[in-house]
Amino acid sequence: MYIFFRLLPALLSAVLFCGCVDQHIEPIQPIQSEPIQSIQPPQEKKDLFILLPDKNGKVGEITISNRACTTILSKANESVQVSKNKVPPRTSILSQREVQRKFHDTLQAIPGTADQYILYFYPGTSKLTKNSQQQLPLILKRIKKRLPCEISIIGHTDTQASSEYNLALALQRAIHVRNQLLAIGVPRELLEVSSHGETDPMIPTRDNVKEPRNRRVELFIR
Amino acid sequence: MLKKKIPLLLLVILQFLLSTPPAIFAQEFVGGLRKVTGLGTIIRDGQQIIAKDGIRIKMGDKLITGKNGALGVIFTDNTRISLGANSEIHIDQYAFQPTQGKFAFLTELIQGTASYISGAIGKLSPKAVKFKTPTAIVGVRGTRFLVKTAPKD
Repeated sequence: MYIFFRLLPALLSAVLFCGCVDQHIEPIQPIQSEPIQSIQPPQEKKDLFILLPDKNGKVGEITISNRACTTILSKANESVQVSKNKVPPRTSILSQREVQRKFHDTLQAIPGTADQYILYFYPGTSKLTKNSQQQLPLILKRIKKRLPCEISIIGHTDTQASSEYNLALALQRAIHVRNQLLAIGVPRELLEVSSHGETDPMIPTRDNVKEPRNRRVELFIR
Repeated sequence: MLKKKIPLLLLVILQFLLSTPPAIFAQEFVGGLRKVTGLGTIIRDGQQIIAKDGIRIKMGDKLITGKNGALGVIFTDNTRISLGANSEIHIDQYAFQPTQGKFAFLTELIQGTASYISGAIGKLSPKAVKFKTPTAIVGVRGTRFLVKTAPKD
């Protein structure tokens, strides 16, 4: 009897312990959903993203959103591997060499930047300033050098007069430049004309302000 | 009186018809191919066009490169993209009409490697730029980046 009483705490604790173990085991059981895990492919497919610095060394920012979250890259050569559904691992900085190794052919195929020329006009007209008129042969030379290429001719005005008037005037300016280029032998099919009116000034001003630097045609050779 | 006006009206209509195609023509092309090497193909309306420097690109085009292929595209807003070997990209949406505030740039890299360098759309309307891959969507704030998709089995 005495022995029984002496053993009681041990028995009780044994029962308690078993109970604990039982409780411990139970939550484990639902994890036996192994069949579901084995259906999924062993490794989820991941896409690699790398942010590069701009030509002037400035670094911008990209956001990469999958079903789980949005990752931000904001440092030069910062990279991340992203699968469809999971929160991606930490970002890491790749070496220049690694970037070159992985993307050699892709980097080689990046088209050259467009050449930009700005031609200026006398106020309220589509008459080129003397200096700008003299640039046309240089532009022709450059176009010939860059063939095959395309040329955008975009007309602009300052904010003097109404916006409708300026939209038309800017178009006249662009058409005038196109005609001048046609006259010196640039093929018509390369030239594309458009007007931004007073909406896209080089020097932002209030409305109804004369600004010679905004009276212009921007020409891009791509 | 009315009879006299009809030829004039016809002339106006004719002029309108003659003058519109170039405008549409100019808008249809969104960019052109540059730096094409190896084998590349454009799929447009189910037809295959062999990729060459200078060929113009339209919205909806699918660009594909072969085993040793690579190509670049420069868009009318000066956005530039390029593809490495064994790659495919779709030009889903493109709009560059600053006077109407209309901007869109949606491309989808199906597989392979690509680079993106932003142009005017990325500067004037960064939210309009979306670059999709099989796993995610990239949003841009005026910059350049590289993407490589997981290899297909």
